[in-house]
Amino acid sequence: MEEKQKNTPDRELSFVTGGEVNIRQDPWWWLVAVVIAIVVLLVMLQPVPFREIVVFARDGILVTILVTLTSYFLMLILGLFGGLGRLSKNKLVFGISSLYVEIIRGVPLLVQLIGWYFASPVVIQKIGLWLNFEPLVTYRANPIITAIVAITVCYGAYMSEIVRSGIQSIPRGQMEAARSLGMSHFQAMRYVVLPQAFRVILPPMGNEFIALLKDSSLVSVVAVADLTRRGREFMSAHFNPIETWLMVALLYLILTLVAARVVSYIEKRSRYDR
Amino acid sequence: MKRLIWLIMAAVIVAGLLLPGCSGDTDIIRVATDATWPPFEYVDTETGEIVGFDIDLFNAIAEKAGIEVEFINVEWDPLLAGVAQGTYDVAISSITIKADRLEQMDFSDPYYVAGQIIVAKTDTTITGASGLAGKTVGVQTGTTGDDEVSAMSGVNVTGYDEIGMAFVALLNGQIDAVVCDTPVASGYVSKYDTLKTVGEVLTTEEYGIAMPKGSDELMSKINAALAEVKADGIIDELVQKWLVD
Repeated sequence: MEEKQKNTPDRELSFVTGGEVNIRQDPWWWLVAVVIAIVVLLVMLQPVPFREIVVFARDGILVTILVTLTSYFLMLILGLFGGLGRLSKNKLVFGISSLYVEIIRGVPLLVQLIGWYFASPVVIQKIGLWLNFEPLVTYRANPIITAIVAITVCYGAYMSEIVRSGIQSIPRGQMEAARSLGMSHFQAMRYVVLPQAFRVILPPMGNEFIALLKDSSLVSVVAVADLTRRGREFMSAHFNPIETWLMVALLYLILTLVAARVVSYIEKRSRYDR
Repeated sequence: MKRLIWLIMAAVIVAGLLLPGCSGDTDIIRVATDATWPPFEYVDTETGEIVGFDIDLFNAIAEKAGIEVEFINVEWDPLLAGVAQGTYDVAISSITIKADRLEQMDFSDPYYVAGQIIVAKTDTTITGASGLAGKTVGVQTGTTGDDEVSAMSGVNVTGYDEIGMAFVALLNGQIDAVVCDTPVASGYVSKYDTLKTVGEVLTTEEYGIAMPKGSDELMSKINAALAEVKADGIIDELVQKWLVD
């Protein structure tokens, strides 16, 4: 009886994303395979320019992945503190985190990136002059680190709101029960509320990762040689915009599709039936 | 398992922050260039190096002046902003010496004379600058091509971040013409036989090497070296190498 009840839902849901039980049944991996096949076909059938583009953009792909992963993990930490701050009863903490969220959400990422890269060295140099601290006066912005910091700060604001909503979705009863068992507020958060909230915010977290991966293309504006910038350099050296942008778009698509599959897998692994 | 995940996260963060490396030596002159403007500066896709007329010229100047250089590839708008602000020590990127730029930065003596030219499809009815009235013309924003076309009356100017996109629009028939520097124009015209240059060169403008305001010491070194380079005939050699084919 039990066996039959378990099997039927799997089969019926096998073509709905989220209904599959394991990777082998997930039909969306076929999409990844198709896109990779298209790229391989293009590279093999028309090596000039497609193979050249892929070979030239190799390091750009690595930079894109590096910037995305580093900013993502840093953003999670920032978002956690921001979200907790937004829920704080302490007026100062609440004020600071709310200010952070509102202001950062109000400025486009591109403007923030440019601001960090060009405005922050000036600010740091002025502080160095005021404090008479030599290393600060000759500070030169490292493009990749500046870009990572800018993206982290920007996405951290959005992540704060996601964390806040995740925590607020957990019934108050959980916190009350934990407190009545003798746990402090911090212990209740750490052992009871946050683990449950984590499951709730997994889908938006995955979303943010994919959005961040695509927004990482903006770092090409601040002297970071990522995939988009490599595409531009190739296109201007060979005067073939259409082929170049097609290949760059396909490469980004592969990255985002693989990321989406990983996110989907993690969601399924940590989901339970309520 | 959890510990492993934390370790991986920490490792990624540390790698991301350390791998790019420290800010580096302050004795090396940082030279900014927008390497998407062949044949003056572009990236050789086989070696990944920045190459071009401007690069060779500045290497020659650096040799004469006895300075070490490091080329940084930045996009056009941040490049100008960076020089104005002092983020870069020098910028060489087919930058035309213009009055409003002179307010923000200093320029060396001119090293090349270029001009703007109109590019259109081979079946176009445009024969010169006067024919542009009422048409849509693409330019790269912030360049002298942009200034030139915006100053013409009755012309619809469409700005693009990068000249290549203007050419795509032209090839697709979205715009009627593109106005840009002569060397870049001839590059695209020789690549696509549905494009041709129209009319005569519209302007004469001089390229100079840009530096933040107040770089008097570096400026005099570079000007002196540039004069030596001109006297040695190196510029003519470079013109032959990059601009005549």
